[in-house]
Amino acid sequence: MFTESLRTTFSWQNGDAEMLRKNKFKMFFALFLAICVLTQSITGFAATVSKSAEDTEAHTTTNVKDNDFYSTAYISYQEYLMQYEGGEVYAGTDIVILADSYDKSSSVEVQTDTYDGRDAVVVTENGQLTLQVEVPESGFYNILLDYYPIEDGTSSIKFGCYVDGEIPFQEAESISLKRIWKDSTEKDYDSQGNQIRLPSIETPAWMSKKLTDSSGFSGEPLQFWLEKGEHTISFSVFQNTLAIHQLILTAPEQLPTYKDVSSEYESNGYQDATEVKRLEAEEATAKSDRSIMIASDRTSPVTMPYSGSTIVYNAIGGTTWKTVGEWVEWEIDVPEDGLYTLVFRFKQDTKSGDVSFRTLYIDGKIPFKEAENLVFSYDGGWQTKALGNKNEDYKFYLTSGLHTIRLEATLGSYNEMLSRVSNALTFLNDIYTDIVVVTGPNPDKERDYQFEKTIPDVLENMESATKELKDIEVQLEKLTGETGGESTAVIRRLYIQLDEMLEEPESIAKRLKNFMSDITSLSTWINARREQPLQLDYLMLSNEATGTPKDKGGFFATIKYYITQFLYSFKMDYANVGNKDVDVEEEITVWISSGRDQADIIRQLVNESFTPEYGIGVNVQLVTAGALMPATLADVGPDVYLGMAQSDPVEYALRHAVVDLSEFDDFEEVSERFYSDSMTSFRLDDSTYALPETMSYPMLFYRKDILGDLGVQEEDLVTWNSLLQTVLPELDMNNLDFGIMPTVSSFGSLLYQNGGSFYNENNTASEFHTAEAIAAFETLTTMYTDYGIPKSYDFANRFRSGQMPLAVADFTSYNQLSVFAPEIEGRWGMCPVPGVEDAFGNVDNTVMCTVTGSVILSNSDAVEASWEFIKWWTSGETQARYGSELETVMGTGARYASANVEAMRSVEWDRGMKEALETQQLSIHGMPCIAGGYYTQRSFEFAFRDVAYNDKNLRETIQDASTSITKEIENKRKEFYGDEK
Amino acid sequence: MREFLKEKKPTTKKRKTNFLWRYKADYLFMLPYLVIFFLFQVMPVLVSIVLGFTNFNVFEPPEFIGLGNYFKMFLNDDLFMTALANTLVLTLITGPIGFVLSFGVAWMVNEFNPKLRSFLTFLFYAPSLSGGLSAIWLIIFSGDQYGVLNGILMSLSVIFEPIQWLTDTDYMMGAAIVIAIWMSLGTSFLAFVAGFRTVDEKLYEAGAIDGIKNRFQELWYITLPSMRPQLMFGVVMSITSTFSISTTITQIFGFPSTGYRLYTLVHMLQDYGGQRFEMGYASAIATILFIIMISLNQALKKLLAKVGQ
Repeated sequence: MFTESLRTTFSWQNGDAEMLRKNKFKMFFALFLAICVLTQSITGFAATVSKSAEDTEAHTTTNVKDNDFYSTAYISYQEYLMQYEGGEVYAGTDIVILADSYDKSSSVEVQTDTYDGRDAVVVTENGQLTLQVEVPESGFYNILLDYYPIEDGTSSIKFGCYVDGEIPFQEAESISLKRIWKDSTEKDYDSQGNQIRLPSIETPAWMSKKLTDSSGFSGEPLQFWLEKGEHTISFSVFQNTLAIHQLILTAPEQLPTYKDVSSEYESNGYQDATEVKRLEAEEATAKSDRSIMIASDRTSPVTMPYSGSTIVYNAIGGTTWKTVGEWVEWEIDVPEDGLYTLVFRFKQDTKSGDVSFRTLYIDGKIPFKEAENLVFSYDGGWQTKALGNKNEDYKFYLTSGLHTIRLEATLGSYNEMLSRVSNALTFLNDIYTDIVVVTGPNPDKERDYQFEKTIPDVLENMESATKELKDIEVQLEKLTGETGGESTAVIRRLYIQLDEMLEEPESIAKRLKNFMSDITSLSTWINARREQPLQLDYLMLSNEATGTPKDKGGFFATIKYYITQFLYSFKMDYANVGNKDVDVEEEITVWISSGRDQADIIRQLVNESFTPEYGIGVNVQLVTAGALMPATLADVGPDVYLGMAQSDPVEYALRHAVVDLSEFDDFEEVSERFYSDSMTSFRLDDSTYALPETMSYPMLFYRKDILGDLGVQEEDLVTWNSLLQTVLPELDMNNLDFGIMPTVSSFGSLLYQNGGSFYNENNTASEFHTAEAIAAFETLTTMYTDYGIPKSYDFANRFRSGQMPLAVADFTSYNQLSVFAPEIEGRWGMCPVPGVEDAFGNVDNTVMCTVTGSVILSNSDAVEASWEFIKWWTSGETQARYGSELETVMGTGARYASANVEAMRSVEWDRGMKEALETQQLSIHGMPCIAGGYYTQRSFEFAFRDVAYNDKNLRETIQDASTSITKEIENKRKEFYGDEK
Repeated sequence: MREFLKEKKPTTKKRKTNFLWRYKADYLFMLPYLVIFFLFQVMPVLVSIVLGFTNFNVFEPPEFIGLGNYFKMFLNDDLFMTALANTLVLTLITGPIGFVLSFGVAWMVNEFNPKLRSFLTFLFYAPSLSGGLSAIWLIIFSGDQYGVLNGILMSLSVIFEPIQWLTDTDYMMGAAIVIAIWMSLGTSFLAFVAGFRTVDEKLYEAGAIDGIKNRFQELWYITLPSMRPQLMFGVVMSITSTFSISTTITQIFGFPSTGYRLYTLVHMLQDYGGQRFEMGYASAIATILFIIMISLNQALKKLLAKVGQ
């Protein structure tokens, strides 16, 4: 096409006068082509290079040392079962151990209490409870707990389960128990008639639960092998409070199949029920997590209840109900005794070509084997189906009266597959490592490494990996009923890759990068499979005669529905959706610049718990980041501004634009809810101008596998001295990097560790010329000049590829890594940042924190109301709710780092991570902000670059920086304080 | 109408009112634009000139200090001199190169048939359409060893350590000039492409008869003089774009750039206005910037008048 048009371009040119032009034209054309080719090659190259930046090779990955710091050191549940293969399964009666018979000598933080008339033994966070059990015969047992989730409005209860003082297998290290929540049965509407989502209420009650694997890989309750005789079982709680009444050792249940059950129906002579009963799914009587939310479906006129004009909540779940273990329960009044079919109107439109699984419980029991793994298939729209298999609908015998129906998210028939795939993943990672051992992180593509001779066993492993992957593919296709589909493409690509590598072993070096990126895709794939989203509109007890109602609206009904919606969209005032007409004494305006989701959540929280309680109306407005200053100048600004950057409150305060919060009577009391030092940046001359919202600080991230392989010890990471002397040379020798960003915050951490500070006591001069500052500056710059660590890098990419197995990074990178780098899950950890050791051997590992805050503007004419608002907003409860809603809406990557101690404790961190964070929290320091303080950052950066890039004299440079900062501070003090030099 | 205006210049006050009244409809039509132009273009300039004589911290009322800001600027502020020098260097190097490049490319594009021409025009103009695209330079000039340029140079063994293109004072100006030139194919390029089409074909024929020997003579004596309005537009655009390159510099090199190596007058404006809240001083700088731009504009206008002579 292109060449054709060119040919015509040439052909229409004729005549002598045109000849000159034509030659010119050819020349230009050639030039143009050259430019095109050049641009192409540059962009092409850019693509390759940036790609290679993404998948730079990992170093070595296997041979995890038997060291608690680097590895989990526990065997997996599957290995555990294998170890006792052929062992008897206990089949006797339940063995009940009352919790208050606990062993007082080895239990800590334990007390007794009574809930709902039952005695409970309460173990608080970081406590441990040990129980003695007498086991009558050797065998596999389930452990059943009667527990009470004490109301505290936060996350699930997590603990480790020890048998005879040991964690028997990996899965027992972190067992979680759910709470009970309920959506309010009342309905509330805003001024335009839209329904408002009311907060979920916690409704604690006694629950019986068999210990299960929280990852869902083993679908059935965990089985513990207990020899005949005396044993101890202990629970060590690391999140929330565990209250138990009794522990029951029970026989693993053998569920009957549907065939057995239906023949039993026949022998009992049960008849089909004649009446039917429908129940709205959004009217669930209980749910396991606050994050499972009622939803407003506006896609189908059949969804009940429906309205074309306003928002009604008519469904439950969706992407908010997808994690294994989350359940929703309904209470249904069965009209008469008889056999019913169970019909659900559901939507599963997120997992294309795949299914979601649920386990059905009726009155707390799984009725038959098949009900463990009920399949909800994919479709773009709503589906109405009765539970059943290909041939028939399942029937359930129900007596008249109240019954509970519960659906719990499970990996279903995927559990085994997924655990097989994840084993394969580990295996592939090991293969990759073994190749890298030979080729190094940057293989020479032209060289023949003679893999057949050097690593024949790895080639064999590759062969068996290929076989396993092919088998997995076949099994998966059986499950999904789709061949050659999207869902198995990743696996197919991997084994084709492996096949080709085996066929031509000399090409392995060339294919290594692709191989790594395929491994990454596989791990992403596993994570996606673990999600089981499902939305429900209603459930219905039906019978064969009634069958299933229509799932989708008719053509005309649907058209009418959409037209109504469209027309009403002109009437609806979208800016005020969710705002209620309430009699308020005062109204305040709140500005937020973070994002729409954030603003929506705040609005919702205000409606739920602020306005009703305080009688103050709040108008939450989303603005762009730079809007505040001009608005303040024009006196049209808000009363409250949320999420203000660290140094701004003081800048505004110097110009009398924000209210001094320390003048409020209850300020002291309020400030206690935050981490110490999170307010340093907001303080100026004994006044405080903002309340902290978020706070984050750096941690040391390390790759367990790689550092373990290099023999780096935990104690080497405690001080900078040992890090510089032992670890960095070791990394350097293996072509690996250590990462720390040369920012003023890194420097500040070193500065405080050395006993220095940014400014003098009166904030009138910089302290960069002191011996402490010079020492800190030297430590930082030597890392770049003498040890050659990279001055700029992408942390997440280099860390996941293994190129940078050790780095100082903000702890919020944890969220990024857990979402972005699933393939290294469990292969990395974080610990406190290295520190400076004093003469007595005490290590100071202070780090600088980064904060944002809420301020009240001086222009506000509702200062008291605004104070009430920011007190409410920064309270533990609000912050915890905000954090959990945000995580529900935006995923783990958006995990909220609250500055509120209570809110931060409710976040579900991994156990080790939580401990590390708590250790680091003990020594944090805020960045002081003063008049002219903005000069500190730029002067430090200039000084650092002068020394690290251009080999300027270290001492002189930092002292010059000190002088110029002091000069600027003096200037500003003259302006604001009238100081004379 | 223009001729008519020249003929009858109002002399007395009475005639002036008459004059205004006579053309009331015309003025009425002009009014909306005039109001907007005055409010949003002229007013800020005037306010800025006035504020230049005050000490104004943005939040509190300004205080008159006469020429204090200008004394400080020229006599007691090294940073101003650095910024002035950087601004002039950037403008004088990238302005002419960008201008010539725009013209050259436009000339080249003009030689193609209409379909290909509009396609190429779009292709060359596209970078300026998508403003955020300059972020590509962040990847190219990244200081990471996997940055594009570092990656290429290291694989060719030209360098062995990654160069911090964006923060090392030795390389920053070079990088900035490259980026500025890349950005210069903007609106002026578009004006040139259009300009080539406005030239009357008859003039070329007449020129050929009058003895034009080659394409360059044709360009100098016929094309360029016919395109003078577009050239003028191009000049203005080039100047403003080199002054406004500071936004891109901030995006790519950070604010402030290391060692004030790329600190232009516009950056200084932002620094004093936005960070130090010394709006009076910032206004004085803006006034100076305004004067520089106006005089540069006038000088180039004179220069352009010489085209084709």
